Parts: sequence; structure tokens; C-alpha cells
Amino acid sequence: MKKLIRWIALLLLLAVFHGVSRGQSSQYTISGFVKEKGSLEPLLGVNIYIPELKTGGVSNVYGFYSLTLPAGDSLTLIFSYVGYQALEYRVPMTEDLELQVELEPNKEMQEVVVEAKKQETVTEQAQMSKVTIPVKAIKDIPALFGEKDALKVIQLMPGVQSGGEGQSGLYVRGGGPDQNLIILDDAVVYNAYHVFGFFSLFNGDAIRSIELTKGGFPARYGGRLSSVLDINMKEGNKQKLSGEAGVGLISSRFTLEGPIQKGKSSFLVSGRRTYIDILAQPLIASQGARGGYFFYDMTAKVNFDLNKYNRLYVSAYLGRDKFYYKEKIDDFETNAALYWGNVTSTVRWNHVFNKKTFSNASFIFSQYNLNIGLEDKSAGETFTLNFNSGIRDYSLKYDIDYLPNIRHSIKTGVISTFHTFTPNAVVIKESSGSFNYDDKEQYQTVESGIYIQDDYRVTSRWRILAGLRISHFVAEDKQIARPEPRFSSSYMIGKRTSVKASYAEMNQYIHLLSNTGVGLPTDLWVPATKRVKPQRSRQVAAGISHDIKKPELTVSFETYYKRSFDIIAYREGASFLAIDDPFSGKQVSWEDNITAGNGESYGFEFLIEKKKGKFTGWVGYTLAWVWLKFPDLNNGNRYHPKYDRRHDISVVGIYELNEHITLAATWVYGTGNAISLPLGQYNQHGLPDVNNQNSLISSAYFYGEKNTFRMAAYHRFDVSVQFHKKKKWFDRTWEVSVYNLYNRKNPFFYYVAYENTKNVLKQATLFPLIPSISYSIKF
Amino acid sequence: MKTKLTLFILLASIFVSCEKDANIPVPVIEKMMAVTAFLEEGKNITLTLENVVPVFANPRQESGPVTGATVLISDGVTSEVLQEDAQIIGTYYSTNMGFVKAGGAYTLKITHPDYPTLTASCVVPTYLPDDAELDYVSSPNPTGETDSLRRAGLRWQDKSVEKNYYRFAANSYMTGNQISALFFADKNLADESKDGEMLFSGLAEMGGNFSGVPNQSLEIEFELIALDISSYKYMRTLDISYYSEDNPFAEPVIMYSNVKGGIGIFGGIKRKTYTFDVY
Repeated sequence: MKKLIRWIALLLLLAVFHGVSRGQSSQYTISGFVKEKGSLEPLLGVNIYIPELKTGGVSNVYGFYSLTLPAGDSLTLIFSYVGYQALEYRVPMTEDLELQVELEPNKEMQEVVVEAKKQETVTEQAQMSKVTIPVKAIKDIPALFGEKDALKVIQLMPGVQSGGEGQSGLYVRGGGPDQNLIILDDAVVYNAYHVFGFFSLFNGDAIRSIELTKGGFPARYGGRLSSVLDINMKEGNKQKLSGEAGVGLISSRFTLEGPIQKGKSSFLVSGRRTYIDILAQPLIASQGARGGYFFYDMTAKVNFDLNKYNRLYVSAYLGRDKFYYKEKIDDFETNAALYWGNVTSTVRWNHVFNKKTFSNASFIFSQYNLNIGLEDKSAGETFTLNFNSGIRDYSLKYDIDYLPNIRHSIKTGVISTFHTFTPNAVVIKESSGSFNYDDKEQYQTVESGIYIQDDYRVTSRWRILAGLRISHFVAEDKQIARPEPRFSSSYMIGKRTSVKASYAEMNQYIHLLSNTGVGLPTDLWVPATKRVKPQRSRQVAAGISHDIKKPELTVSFETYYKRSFDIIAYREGASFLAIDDPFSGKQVSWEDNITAGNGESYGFEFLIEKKKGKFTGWVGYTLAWVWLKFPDLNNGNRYHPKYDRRHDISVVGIYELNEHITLAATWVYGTGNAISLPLGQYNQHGLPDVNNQNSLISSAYFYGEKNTFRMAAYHRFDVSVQFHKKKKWFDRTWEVSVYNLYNRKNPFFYYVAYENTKNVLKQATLFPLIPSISYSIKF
Repeated sequence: MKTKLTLFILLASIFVSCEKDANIPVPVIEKMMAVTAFLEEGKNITLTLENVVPVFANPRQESGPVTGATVLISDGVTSEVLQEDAQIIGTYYSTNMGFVKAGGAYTLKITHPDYPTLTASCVVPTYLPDDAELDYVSSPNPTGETDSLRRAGLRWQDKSVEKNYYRFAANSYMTGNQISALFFADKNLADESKDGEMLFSGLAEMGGNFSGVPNQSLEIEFELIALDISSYKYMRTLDISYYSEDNPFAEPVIMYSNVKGGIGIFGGIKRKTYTFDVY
């Protein structure tokens, strides 16, 4: 381990020295920002290719790029990006140059005509196990109730699985939903789901980019074991007022963006609210009670170009889910509510130090809360109960991009987060004063990281992305510092094929306690403590990627092996309801309820993808195994977790029939979840009493080994058709979609029921065939 | 909390659209027996035998005691055949009180014409300390009443080098009359990370209402039980199973078993009682 770190550090130093020494010869730097023509939205990941040198670069998340090239007469720069028309510049290499580039989006149906070699493809990138989801695909792919959902589109990629029917939770390469770092404009989002995971928080209208990394993690990311989902919100149109709005079966949404000062600053606001509660109100009210459920989310962002070298961004997200129930019968009154949600806000300052150096400083706030409230009034007495749990973060982050020459792209930075965890805060009161209970459990910790990484083009065929992150955690006067080496490399074989390999070590200092696996808001975030170690993982991956010229396809195959250590799970029989029992004196802490163990996962992922043309889509297949071994679970024997899925297939197709009609379909198949079913029933006994008499305890189920049964396989076919039309003031789209077209009764859970003299196994199904219709406009 | 749980489940069930028979093969098991026996020096051996019925049998079968089994326990040199209790069905016993020795290793073999043969083995623990210490705390209760919240715990010396497993229970008595049992957060303790140290049961609250009770004599009686590792694991899962049976969110409890050819526990224990006069 120490040797590996030394090698990586040495490699980084040599690489930088090598590049800088080469950079001493006469070179000039071309730098600037790449933006979308019209809106001036910065474009990240734009490829810049220099045919004469057979090399290039890429714009960063703020659209900044810098290329330091050898002096000469002139060179050709080709800027290309999927969904945009490529631009070609001939630039003199006689002096440094600032070149601001604006790419124009493709018009409907127009194919991008750029020679494949002019663009950097996935095949050529050093980083592997990365998935970029086109925002347009999110809007085109059919969805449950017509609610477009970024996380569910990501679930259609190989190596990523859903937890179950309708769930947005991500299970990446054998990791749980808690092991995904979900970042929205630099802010960590702790619960990314509405309605028990059926819908994600992210309103597609406000999203600029989504990128999922499953392995070979760049050193700039840390804090989770299994994946990084980096989501960036749109900046807002700097030229004109524009927007989108939509009405669906269960929710409506709007997005408005426009300039504050034309060309210099802009704003964006976006919101969504469901109206299930309003529609259901007449039914519930007729039964003498009021109740319902709704969720809403709002996103807002402003940004200012302070001057040529400084930009300021302020963004915020607010989302809430709420169940409520009120009932009044005579003098008995009940008010109950369950509500949860996230609040995030980020202030970012971009500064361009010089043509080669770009920096970003962020101040980030993030909070997730769950509240359960109950008030009973009866005969002048009032009983109130309030349960609260949550996590609150304040973070400072500073990143520098340094591009000394065309061979190196160096990123370095530091982040520090102050966490406040409240796993349990319970207040119970009776107005008579006969009973009062007030208990609060709170932890404060500091999590930090410092990193350096270099994307090094060793030769025109060989690239290395190497880095080192040092993570640091302080909790309960205990400090932990751990090095996390990261390495990935690609080597081109011929013009269109590359082989890749990666290694990454990750540490996770916070844990999610979840014993349902369905993304309930009751899942608790807790820190590593003296008793509960941080989780850590090591992952190796290797793969081969090949670009096919006609039709333009990318085929990739990856295999991975991951070991996870000190991961946690609820003990058998434990659950989130861990409060001290004031009557029995039974003292319960979340630390008493959990146990630690190790995990192992391995698998193969295959993806064939078509990103351009009238027909786009992909086919993904994953063959995977996940094992867990906990000394305190399953009698210490290893077992498959519920979400172990041997086969997972996704087929996605989007076809733009003409400029008025878009057709889309998805088909998914997955091996059934691993579950425990009772095999037998018997009477169990405990220790004999002092008189040596055996005591009958209770009737019990005999389960055998944990999770040895499989639920029925999951599969589903969804279709949608969109009708687009240009109106005078706006473009409108009608969408008709059908979720689960062949009405597959996929099991959500099983239970034992007694019927006609025998026990039978029953299954509950959530979503049968569900048609939906929505209407949206864009102006 | 159960009110909230119910509310929560009701709300969640809004989304359950339909139910039907599961179209997967239901689990099938062969007939088997469940055994419970804890060997203790100086005590009769008492063993219970229950049948394990398939959950999905058609028609449904009821679980119950197993009679007619041949139960053989051996210490490697001599063997005891347990007699079937005519009064308590499914219970087998030995009257040879000298057969079980602390530190002895024993094997179990149960044969029955209708069930697979069941075998198991155990070692009877040897160590319990001669003395132990009492921790007693009284404090105001949440409503401010003085001396009405009373807690007690036991401290004892663990024996070093060997792995020891304990279980404890306690009762409090006032003026000779039993008041109540003490409730421990966890009744089981292993010395895995505290070998040879002083161990502590944790403070357990005394049940009962002390309001207005005048100061009388208070006696606390602790029972400390040394367990072999199998008994320790079995009792832990049994406790968890007991505490979680009403919790719909709880994970299924896989009961520990050290028995081949069936399920259950064949373990060894040693117990001792420590009595303290508080005042």
C-alpha cells in the first residue's frame, strides 16, 4: 500500500516535471470559455482537437479550457460536443490567445457531421467506468406517471441497478444507495428521492449535466465507496427570457430563466409540485378525516460575470415531502404528519489566475431532515410526540485547474466539511405532566480531503489519470487520516480501440442506517465513531472500448472486482425505531443496533451505445455477484444482499421520426431480489429457569440461510410518443406514455397468508400498466 | 410509536396496487426436529424436542412436541439415554445429577423413526467469579421525584486467556417481597475485547412504582450465567427475535443453531447468584 502511494507520488512528480521541462521551449497558450450560442450557458466536456498534433483537450465544468501548444505558423482547433455543431478555427501560434467559443445546438433532426477522429471519444479518455447522461435523453425516455427522472435513466446503464419496483435508489457495482456521492452544484444531497424513492429530486428542466462515475474515481472525488453522481444545474439564459412548463398526471412544473444584465448575469428558477393530495381530498374528507401526501421542489440560481477573470454563482435547492392526517371525532382530535426534505445552497467564485490556471472556491450548505409529529387531544388532555433526525453540513472547497501544457491537466484542491448529525431527537409530552420525555442524540464531526491529480497524455496513444487524495476525519476527539491512491490508464490499439484499467481506494466516514432498502425517509445518516469504523473499499477494473464508424457506435466491456470493509448493517431484529424505553429502562443507541462486516462484488458490464443520429439509445448488460459477510448476521456465513442481481439488461431506444414526433421505448430485465422466506415453523425455548424447567418462548419461523430465495424476475416495457409543434410564442409537446405496457405483475414484496387450510405465499405489486399524458411548453 | 408505525404503513400501502399468489416455487423442507438443551453441572439434563413443520404444507401443519425419540448424550466415555417425561410431552431428562461436569465435552445424538438423526456437541463452562460488586444509582425521575428512579448493575472479574461469555438477570426485593425484575439493554456479554478485565452488566432500571414508598430494606439478587459460545449466540438471537417480533421494519432473525440434522441449541452453562443488601 505504502509502496503504491510512493509510486503514484513519484509518477505525478515525474509527469509534471517532464511536462514542464518540455514546456520551456517556445509555446503559446490558447484559452477561454466554451458556451452555448444564444443562452451563453457554459459547456463542460467540450472536446478540443488539434489534428496536426493528434491531441487536444477538454473544457472543464465551467466551460474553461486552456491549450499550451508549440509555436509555429498556425494550428487547427476543432471544438465539438454531442448535440452541437462543431466549430473549426485556424489560429496563429505566434502569441498567446484568448478565444471565446460559442457552439450552436443542432437543430432538430440535424445530424452532427464531424469526422470521428476529430473528437475525443469515450474510447480515448483515460478515465473509465464513467457514464454521461444526455439531458435530452432524460426528457425523451418514458417514465412512471410521465415524471421525468434523471436517476431512473441512470439505472438503465450497466453496473447500476434499482432497488426495486419504481425505486430511484442506485445500487452501483454492489454498493448500497448510501455509498453514492450525489452532488448538486457541489452540494451533497443526502436523500435524493421523493415518495419513498419513486421519484428523484432532480427536475430535468433545471439540469445542465449529469455524470456518473462507477470506478477509477478521479482524486477530486471522495467520501463514498461506490459511485459519484455529479449533477450541475443550468446557469440561466444570459441573452433572453426563456422557460419551460409542464402539466402531468400527478405534478406540474415550471422553469424560468433569463438575463439580469444582458450578457453579464442571469437567473434561473424552477419548481415542481404534486397534487395527489388535492385530487384525493374529496374521497378522504368524505370519511370524516383530512389527509394526503404531496412533495415539491424548487431550484434557484443566479450568476454574475464580475469581469473577465471572475464569476460568481449562487444556487439553492429546497425540496419537501409531506404526509399529513387530521381527524376529529367528538372531543377526540388527531393531527399527524411525516415530512422530510433537503435544503442545499452553494456560493461559488470562479477566478482565472492566468491563461493556464483556473480556480473555484465554494461555500456549501446542505441539510436533510426528517420530522414525525403526532398530537392527540382527548378530554382536555394533549399528548404530543415529535421525532426528528437529520444531518447538516457546512463546507468550504477550493479547487485549482492547472494546464501547464498539452500533455498535462492537473487538478488540485481541498475541501472541509463540518457535519452535525442528529440521529434521534425525541420529545414526548403529556399536558397533565404525568409523562415527559426529551432525548436528543447529536454528533459533530469534521471531514476533510486534499487531492492532486494529473491527466497525463504520455504519448498520442497512452494516457494516465493518476492522483492521490488524503482524507481526514475528526469525531469524538478521534482523528483518522487515510491515503486514497487513484489510478486509471488507457492505451489505444489502432485508431478505434482502447484498453483501460483502473484502481481506486475510497473511504466513507458517514453511514446510512437503512433496514428496508426502499429509500424510506426514516433511513438515518450517522458518522463513524469510536465504536463504528469508517467504511473503505478497493476496486480494480479493466475494460476494452471500441468505436465503430458506421453506424456510429461505441461498444465497451468492463470487468471489476471490489472489496468493501467495515460496511455496516442493522443487526437482525433491529430497526430505525431506536429510542430508549422509559418504562423498561432498555437503553438503545443506533450504535447498539448496527453491526459491521465486509463485502465483495465482481462482475462484467457490456454497453453498446449510439449517441448520434435520428435513432439513439443503448443496450446494457450486467452480470454481477455481490456477497456480504458479517460476523453477527446469518450466523457469520456470507450471503447475498437483497439487491444482488445476477443479470440486468436494459434496452433503450429513441427515434426522432420527424421534427414533430419522437418515439421512445425501454425494456428492462433483472434477476429477482434475494430474500429470506420462512421454511419452517416451530416452538422455541430459552434457558431453563433456576428450577431447571425449560421455558417456552414463542412460536418462531425457521429461515435457513439468509436471502437464499429469489423473487420473481423483474421486467417491464415502457413506450412513449411525443408530439412537438411550434406555436407562435412557444414550442409545445404532448407526450403520451405507457409504463409497463404488457402489465407485468412485478413483485414488490412477499408475505405469508393463511388461505383455505394452508399458508400461501402472496406477492404485492405496485405498478400495473399505467398510461399517462403530459403537456409541456418551451419558450 | 406503534401508532406512528401504523400510520406510516397505511400511508405506504396507498401505493400497493394489487396482490396475488406468488408465482415462484415455495420453499420446501424435509421433516426435522428442533432441540433445546443446556447442560449444567449438578443438575438433571432436561431436553425439549419440537417438530419443525413446513410453513407451506398443505394442509397447514401445527408444530408441537416430538415424542418417541431416542436421546443419547455422551461424554466420550459413558453415555446417558434420556427418559421421556410422561407429564411434559416432548421433554426428555436424565436423573443422573453427577453426569454433567464443568469443563466436560458432550455429544448429543437423537434418533427417531420419522425424522433425520440430529447430532450436536458442547462444552460446559467452568468459570464464574466467587465475588462480584454491585453498582447502585438512584436519581430523580423525569418528573422530578427524588429517589424514585433506581438503577443497578453488576461488576465482576473476567478470567484472562480464555474466551468467556455471560448472561445476567436480576431481581430486586424490598423487605423480603419481590418488587420486580431489572431490565437490561442487553443481557449478554462477551469478553472478546476485554479479556481478563472487570466486566460490567450496564445499569438496569428497576421496574415498579417507588413513589411514596418509605425507606425499607432493599435487596438485589443477580444471577450470572457463564455460557459456551453456542449458547451465547443462541440466546442473543433469541432475545433479538423476542424484541423485534412486533416491529414490521425489522429484518428477519436467523436463529442461531449448532445442531446438525435439525435446528436448535445443545449448550453448556454454569450459573451463580450474588445477593446484595442495598440498605
